[in-house]
Order: sequence, then structure tokens, then C-alpha cells
Amino acid sequence: MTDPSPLLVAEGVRKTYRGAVEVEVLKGIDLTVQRGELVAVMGPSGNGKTTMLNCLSGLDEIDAGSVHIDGQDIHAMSDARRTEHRASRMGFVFQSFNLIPVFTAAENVELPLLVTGVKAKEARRRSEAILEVVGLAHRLRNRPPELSGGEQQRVAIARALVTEPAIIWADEPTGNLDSETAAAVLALLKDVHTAGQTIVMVTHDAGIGRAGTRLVKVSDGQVTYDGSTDVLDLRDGKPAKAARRRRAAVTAK
Amino acid sequence: MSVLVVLVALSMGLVVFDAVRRPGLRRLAARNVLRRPGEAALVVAGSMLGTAIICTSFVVGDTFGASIRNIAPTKLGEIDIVLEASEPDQLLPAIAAADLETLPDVDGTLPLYRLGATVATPGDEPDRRAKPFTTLVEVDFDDARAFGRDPGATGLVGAGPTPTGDEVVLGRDLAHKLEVGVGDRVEVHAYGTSRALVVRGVVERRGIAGYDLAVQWGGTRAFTAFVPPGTIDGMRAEGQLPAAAPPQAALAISAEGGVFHGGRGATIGPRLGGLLEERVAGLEGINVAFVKNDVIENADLQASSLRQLFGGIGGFSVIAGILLLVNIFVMLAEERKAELGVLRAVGLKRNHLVRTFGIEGAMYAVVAAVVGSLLGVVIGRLISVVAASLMARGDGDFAISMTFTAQPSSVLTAMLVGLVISMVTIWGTSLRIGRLNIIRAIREQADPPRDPRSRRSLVFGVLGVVLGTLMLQSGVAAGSAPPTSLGPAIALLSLILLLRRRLPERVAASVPAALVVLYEMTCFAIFPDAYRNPEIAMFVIQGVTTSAAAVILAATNADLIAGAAERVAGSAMAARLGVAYPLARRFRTGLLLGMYTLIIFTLTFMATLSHVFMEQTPRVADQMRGGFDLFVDSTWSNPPTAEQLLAQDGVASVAGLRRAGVQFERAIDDEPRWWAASGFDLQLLAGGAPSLQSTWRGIEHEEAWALTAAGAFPESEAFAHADGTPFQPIPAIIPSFFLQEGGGPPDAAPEPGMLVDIVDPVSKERRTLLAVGIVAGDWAGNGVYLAEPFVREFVSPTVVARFFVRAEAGHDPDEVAAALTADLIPHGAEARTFQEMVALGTSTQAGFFRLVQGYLGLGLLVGIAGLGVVMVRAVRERRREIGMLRAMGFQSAVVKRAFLLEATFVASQGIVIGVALGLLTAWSVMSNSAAFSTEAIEFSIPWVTVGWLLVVPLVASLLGVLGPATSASRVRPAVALRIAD
Repeated sequence: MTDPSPLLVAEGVRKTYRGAVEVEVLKGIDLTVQRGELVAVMGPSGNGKTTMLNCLSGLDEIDAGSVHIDGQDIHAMSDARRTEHRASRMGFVFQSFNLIPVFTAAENVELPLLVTGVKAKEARRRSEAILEVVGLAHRLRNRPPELSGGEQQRVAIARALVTEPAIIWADEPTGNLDSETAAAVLALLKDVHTAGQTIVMVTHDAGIGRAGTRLVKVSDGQVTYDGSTDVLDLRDGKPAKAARRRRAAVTAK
Repeated sequence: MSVLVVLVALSMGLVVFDAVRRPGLRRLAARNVLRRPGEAALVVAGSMLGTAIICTSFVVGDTFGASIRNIAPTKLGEIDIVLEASEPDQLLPAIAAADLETLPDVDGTLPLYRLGATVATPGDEPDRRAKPFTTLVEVDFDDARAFGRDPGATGLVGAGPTPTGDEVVLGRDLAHKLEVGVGDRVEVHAYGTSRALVVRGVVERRGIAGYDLAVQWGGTRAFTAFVPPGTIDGMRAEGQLPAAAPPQAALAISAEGGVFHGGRGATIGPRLGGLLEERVAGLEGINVAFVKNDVIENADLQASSLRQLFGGIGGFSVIAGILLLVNIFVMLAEERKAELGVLRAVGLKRNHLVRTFGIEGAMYAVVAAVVGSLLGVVIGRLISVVAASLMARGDGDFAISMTFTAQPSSVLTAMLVGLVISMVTIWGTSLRIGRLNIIRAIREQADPPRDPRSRRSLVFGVLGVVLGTLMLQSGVAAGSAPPTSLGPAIALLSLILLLRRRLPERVAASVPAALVVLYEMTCFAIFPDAYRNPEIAMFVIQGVTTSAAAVILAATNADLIAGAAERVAGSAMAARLGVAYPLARRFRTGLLLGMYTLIIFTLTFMATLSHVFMEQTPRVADQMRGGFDLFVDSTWSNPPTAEQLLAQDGVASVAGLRRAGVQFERAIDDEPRWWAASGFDLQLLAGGAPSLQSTWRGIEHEEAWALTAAGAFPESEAFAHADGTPFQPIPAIIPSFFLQEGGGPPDAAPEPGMLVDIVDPVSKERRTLLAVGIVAGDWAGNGVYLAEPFVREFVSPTVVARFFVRAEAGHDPDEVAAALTADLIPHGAEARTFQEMVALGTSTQAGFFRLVQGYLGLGLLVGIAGLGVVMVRAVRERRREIGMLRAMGFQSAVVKRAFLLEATFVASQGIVIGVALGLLTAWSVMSNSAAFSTEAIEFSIPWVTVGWLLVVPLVASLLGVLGPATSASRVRPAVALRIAD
């Protein structure tokens, strides 16, 4: 039976970068993510999308508010405990893949398993299996510099998935890819989501955003919209031209 | 220097041109430096270490050179030439014949009356101290102060009037030895009588006070006592010992300008001496001693030998510094790859890219060269402080007072060398960078592996093999060690390029590299002639080639080591991460590994050498002693007789030696050179003769000694020179370090059957000796052993003042020695067991070895600092990866451990290879090289030192890396990833 409680509850999250000039990036974020959702986080550049992802995932500290995942306040944890929590409950996919260049694809994917104490042999078996799922069974022994961008991102997704995390954080996962490869990677993420995986995905691309089951718009450090992705098809309150064309095509059929 | 200037001009010329004429390139380069001050500081810090080590090596050489050379002016002051008479009454006719008034360039003359005697603290004092072989001097202090142009150089300024009555003025070294000061009582013993005197003053070792009778033996200390005029003759008359050596009457002469006063002085001394020799030629018992020149020549020889040694050993550290420089610039280039790719993409021409990188590198290089050379001066200063305390503790008569010297030319040379090395590295990496593939650079993708079958590798491979073979051929033909060592190494390592075309990488690289190591270990045995008299450079070449080959071997097979480590570590993430980076970046790892290997190799090699020398004490003592237990040396003016010694409690038998300083001349010498000779008789062979290293025609040791004691070969032996002229040589036993000066391997190791002329310094008569045996380790300084009657007749006057003594059964030789020394103080007797004598001699060597090891420790410092710098850069380089690892759930402690394990992986490989190679090379050199055939050496491993060498550098490296490792663990994932994305 699916757990009815929300996976993530963020309340009043604030974050200020202190440097020569103080910049308040998050100005009280409230967000709840249910299990199995694919949340697309969108908004203009420099308005706090990535910072929100970092703060909600516990990669970065927050100045105020709280973030509960599975009912646990991750910012109340020690760094070591939070790291442990991240290892067991979260997966990450970044725009620039962030694979370890000196490890092979299989070794990169098995890293999170080894961190959580899975035996080396079992870790390798699961790593190879997940790489096969993402279509890279033939690239197990290749190192990242020997892979294409799309292949690298698929390795990164496999790495994020391999521990079967509660949530995957994806920050512009297709940002470095051409449209064809981006579509393939997006399809992969959608497949994963269809299998029940919760995903929070930051993107600036409406096309990618449409893949989400829910859209969260962030502007000036605040959530300005939280609802259906259909809004992406509206322009000035009406369906956009592309959406009209899509609908017309569907009607014609 | 001019070559260096040309190289600097070549490497900096384009940079200067661009910096002046291409403001765009200049701005681009300057911006790179200024916007990352931390990065720039790290590059400079790493680069300056290399320059610092070069400069230190030069400054240490300067300091030793100046300190040793300083001995001459401080010891002898204005004394340049001395007219010596064997008997006092022979001097006046000589002075008359010399017609000093008409001699040109004479700055002053000073009559001296001297005698070797014993000075001791009073007999009624407990813990009595004595100094045999002290030079008693009678001289008029006012005349002495007026001698030469510089009263300060006479050593007697402020010493008051000439001693009278019961006064004595002591030289500083003697006062120190006896632990006496002004007002204390001392006793002077000579000719079987004594005088009680009171110390009126103590003077520095300078000028007249520095000129003792042992000056010709190269001692750096001087034990002198100024006694009232008439004391020596009074004691001689009172003592009535006609067999004892007479006093020496001498006339010290100061040449105008002096040897150290202006360029003219250096030539005046020998010219004046030559003229003097002509005028006194034929006068009996007169010798013209070129004391200042002899001391300077000896000092120059020692200084140059030490400079060579330090330069050679420093060479290892310099190469380690170069490897660090290359590593740092390669890292810099790799880190900038994406940025450089973008610059190319936006239109920067390839050659402009190279030149921009060149300008930027030059900025680092210039600052590093200047700061590094200054740092080198500071480190050199520190070494000279340590050296000063070590060298001042030298045994007996030998100690060096270290004077820190940094010649501006040395500092400048080091600065230029550092600059040239940096610039060559910079241009090399810049050109490599210039060839980057724009897309791969922007995407930060690795370059594809080079094609092993490229034409370039074929050309370089063939060229290397040909060049190496030619070098080997020329080295063997010329009997020269460096090309004989280097040639095969070049050929075999070049062969890798050819083998890679057909064979798998592991086989192609491992086999030739292993062969290089094997060859370098056995080359002494394969080409013994080439390694007969090896130079320091040979050891450097051998060390570098062996280390390079071992590093190639290790780097090629590192995955096997890592695989084994991984099997042990299992899923331990820190271990996996720790080995992954070194394995993936083999070139950079190889540079670090090479640096460590070289440094540890040198330290191990020197430590083993030092250990083996120290360990030989009991063995050498056994070889020296023959059938005796003690060796007694005594003052010539009042030696004990054999009967007196036999009368002492615990003495069973005695064999006397008649020792003298004579001159020898080999066919390879330009002029006769001073060395000791000792006459012995059959008594020395009574209980078994001292061991010989080798003998003429392989005759038995006893036979060689007996033949020498007989003083002539049997009449049946006919000898003839190459031209057929018959001659009758005198049999002699020659020490292995015969006529060797300045330390290091002998320039011409004596061999049985060698011929050498012995020259009477006074009569100039010469006889030819034939070495029937070579005696190893002449620690007593007995020199060439000859038949006693021959020495008595050929070199006169001389006395029997040295003895081999056998202790009676049941008596402890140490106790007998102590009793003899105490009871025979009036005779200036110093009795020691052979073991103690060897131990005393080796203590100076031990100190010297410690100094050299300390100096090498600097290299270790470079290695550790270098590893630290490389790791700091690695943390920056891998910031994003660390961020990702932390995001994935890696604890900060795992990240820290990963960096520490990475350093451990590299350092421990280098340490283990270095220790193994050091031990192997030391064993190989000692077992096979002619350089070590002069000593009876038995190889043994210094286990304790090896243990330290395995642990200390590793711990020190880990401490050095702790900072960067901690900073890596503190990388905040969001910050690292934010920077990246």
C-alpha cells in the first residue's frame, strides 16, 4: 500500500548568500511533494531554482524554515547523519553529469551502493543491471571521457536510480544535450517516474517542464505558481499556438 | 654562465617581446595571474622549491670551499715560505747563502725555533690532561708582530712581550684541549726533562700561532705553546737524549703581497721560493717549504672535492625539483584546458595561445626563480650552521670552522638555472597545450591515446637505440663510467617505443625497464675498466637511470598493485578513490613517483654507505693489528724506548716504527708529494703481520711483509725499466689511499707491483720502491711500510716514536692503553686499542655522512612539499567531483581518507622502490666497484635506518597532505556543484 503521507514538506525556507553583497535568494519557500510525483521546477534564470533544489535536498544549509523528508527534519540532522540520509534516500542528476572521470561507467554507478554498505559483488551486479536498463550494457567498462554527453547523462541517471531512492533531484538534466538526446533522456526519466519514482526536476525548458505531473514556478525566491503543467500550454490565459495545433491534431484524428 | 645567459635570452626573449609589443596577449596572461592569486601563489611556491634546492647546493659548495680555503690565511697569516734546517746550526749558513737582502719581493723574515713536545696539566692534579705533539715555539714577539705587512695576521697582537721566566703563551686549540686558561699551571716535557710554566696568555690560531709542525699533514687545528727563549736548548742540554729528534730552526719568510693579498701575491710566493731553493741548493739539511702554497693547494683540492660531492648529491634533489616543476605546469595546463579551448574557439591563434601561456608561465617563473634562490640562501645558511657544529667536532687535529659564504655568482647562476628549467617546462607544456583539440578541450574530454605505431615514435625509438649504443661504445672505449651507464639505459628505454608497435604495453615497457635496472646493478662487473675510477657524476647518472626505469616498471604495472589493494580493501571507498586517480593519470603519478624514488634512493644509498663504513670498525681494527692489541704514538723529542714500554704492567711485546715525512713521486705525478713512511723490523711480524688487501704476484701476506722487512729483493729477481735499463727496487707495503687527497674515490688506486720513487726532501736523493703488498685502511697514518734500516739511513734524522704493543694475556687492552697513556705523559705517549683508533677516525666520517644525509633531507623536504602542493592543486581540480561524491552521500571523512590514501599510494611506492634500489645499488657498488676496493668492505643492511626511511618520509608526507585532505573534506557540496554548474 502506498504511504499517503507527503514525501517532502518544506516550510518557510529562506536562504541568503553572504558576500560583498548580501543576496536573499529564497524568501520563504513552502512546498510539499507527494510520493510518485514528477515536479517540474521552472522560472527565470537567477531566481533561485537551483538554490531551492540544493536547500531542499540538504546539499546546502538554510537560514530559516524546515525541510522534512519522510517526516525527518533534514536540517536538524548533523552533517554526517544528513549525508547518510542523502546516500540512502536521494539520487541526483546534474546538468554537467558530474561523473568521476577516473572510474568506468559501472564503477560510477556502483559508488552510491558501496557508500550504503552493499557488498562489492552485489553492487557491481546491480550497477550492470541498471546500466542495461538505461541502454548502456555495451559501455560498462568505458570511462566518462570516452562516452558521449547523452551516454554520460544516462550513466548519471543510472547512478541516481541504483539505490532506489525515495526522491531524485534533477537540475537541468538535459541542459547540456542536443534536442534528440535530451528527448531520449527525458523519456528515460519519464519511464522511471512511471515506475513510481518521485522526481523533482529543475528546468528552464517548457518542453521538458511539460513532462512533469506538476509545475512549480519560482520567481524572485518565492513559489509563484504551484499546479498543473497545463499552464505551460497557455499564453495570456489561452492555450498557446503550439498547444492549439496539438489539440487540433488530436481532434482531427 | 654565458651558456645560461644565452638560454635565458632564448627562453625569455619571445616573452619579453610579447609583453612589450603585444598588449593583448600580455593583458590576457596578466589577468589569469591576477584573478587567481591563490592559484598563482601555489604555482610559484612549487616552482621556487626547485630553484631553492639548486641554490642551496651551490651555497653549500661555496661555504665549504670558503671555509676550507680560509684555513690557509688564518693558520699561516703572513708566512709564505719557510727555510727549514734539520739541525739548528745548519740554518745560519743557509741564511747567509740565501742572501736575503738581495731577494726580491720579500716582505719580512722571522727566525723561529721549534720543537715537538708534550704539554700537560701538572702531575699533582687529578684527571691529568696532556697534549703530545705540541709545537713549542721560541720567537721574539716584537719581531713577530713586525713580520709581514699585517700585524693582525701574526696572531700575536695583544699577546704582550716575549715570554720570560716561567711564562708560557698557549695557542687557543692547546688551551682548549688542556682546559686551561690564564694563570693556570702547565708542564712541558721534552728530552726526558720537564719545565713547570704558568699560562700568561692565550692567542688565536693565526699566523705564527697557527704554524705548527703538523702543518704539512693537513691538520686544521694548531697546537702551539710559546715558551721563553732558551727553554728548548736548556731542556735538550739537561735531558741528554741524543737519539731524540733535534729542535727545528727555521726562517719564516713573507712574500710581498702575500698569497691572499691581491693577484700578484699568488705568483710571488712560488717564484721567491724557487729562487731561494736555487741559492741554498747543496746545503746539507736545508729544505725550502712552500707552506702557504701547500696548504692552499690542499685546501683547494678538498674544497673542490666537497663541492663536487655536494653538487653531485645535490643533483638528485635538483632533478627531483625539476620533476616537481614539470608536474606543476602540466597540472596548470590541464586545469586550464577548457578555458584554453574556449579561447581558441573564439579566435585566438594557436601560436598566440602558446605565447599567452608562455607570458603567464614566465611571470610565475621569474618570481619563483628570485624567491627560490633567496630561499636557497636561507636553507644554505641553516645547513652551514649544522655543518659548523659537526665539522668543529672533528677528531684530533682536523676541524673546520665553517664560514657561511654565498657567492653572488652562485646565487645568480642558481636563479638563472631555475628560470631556464621553468621556462623550458613552460614552453614544452605550452606547445603541448597549443596542439589541443578545441572540442575535446571545451568538453574536457581526455585526448585519445597516442598511436604506438606513429612515425614519430619509430624515429625517436631508432634514434635513441642508436645514440645509446654509440654512447656505450664510446664509454667502454674511453674507460669512462657516465656514458657506459647512460648509453644502455637510453637504448633500452628507447626500445620501449619500438616494442610498443608490436607487443602489449605491459610487456613492451616492463621488459626493457627491468633490463635497465639489472644492467645498472651489474655494469661494474661487465665493464670493470670503465668503473675503475668513477666520478660523482656516474653515481648521479646511475641513480637517475635506475630510478627512471624502476618508476616506468612500477607505473606500467601499478594496476596490478592497485588490483591487489582493491581485493584487500574490498568496497572500502576511500581506498578505491585513493588509487583511482594515480592509476588514471600515470604521467603525473610517474613524475611524483620519480621524485620520491630519487630522493629516497639517495638517502638509502648514503645511509647504507655510512652504515657499512661504521660497521667496519672491528674488522678493520682486526686487519690492522696483526698480532698486537695497542698502538702507541709519542713525541719525537722524548719518545719512550721499547724497554720502557715492556717494563709497563700488562705489556707482553713491542714492535717499534721509525716514521718520517718523505716525498714520493709516481709516474703520473708532476712533482714529489708528501706522505708518511714507517720503517719496521721483524718484531712487527712476531705475532702475525697486519692483513694485506692484495699482494704482488699473489705471494702470501707474511712473505710480503718479510720481503719488505728485508729491505731488498733476492738477487735472483732482476728488474728492468721499459727501455731495458736494469734497476733494483726496494720492496714496500703501500696503503690503499696512498697519495690520495681530498677524499672520495682514489684518483689512481695503488696496485701490487706499482713503482714509486721515494725522494729525500733534503738531499733530493731518490730510490724506486715496488709495492709488494697493499694495506687497506691506514688509520694510524703509518704510510708506506719500509725496512727500518732503509728509513733510518735514507731519511734522517728520525726516531722510533710509534709502537705496536701486545697486551699480556689476562690484561684488558683498554686498561693497558689507559695506563700507558697516563704513565708515559712525559713521553707524550698516546696509547689506543686499534678498535678505538678506527672508531675515532670513523667518527669524523660519521659526522660527514650525517651532514650529507641532512643535506639530502632537503630533497625529502622538496618531495613532501611538492606532494603537498600537488595535492592542494588536486583538491581544486577535483572540486566538482568532491562535491558530487558528497552529494551522493560520501562522508567528509571518506573524502579526507581518500586523499590521504592517494598520497600514501604514491609516496609508499616511491619510498619502497627508492629503498630497494638504494640498497641494491649500494650492494652492487660496494661489491663490484673499484672505487671501494681500497677498503675491506663487507656489505650489510642498516635495518634500523631502513625502518626509519620507510616510516618517516611516509608519515611526513601524510602530514604534508593533511592540510589539502582536510580542505577537500570541507568542500561544501552545494558550493562545489554551484561553481561547476
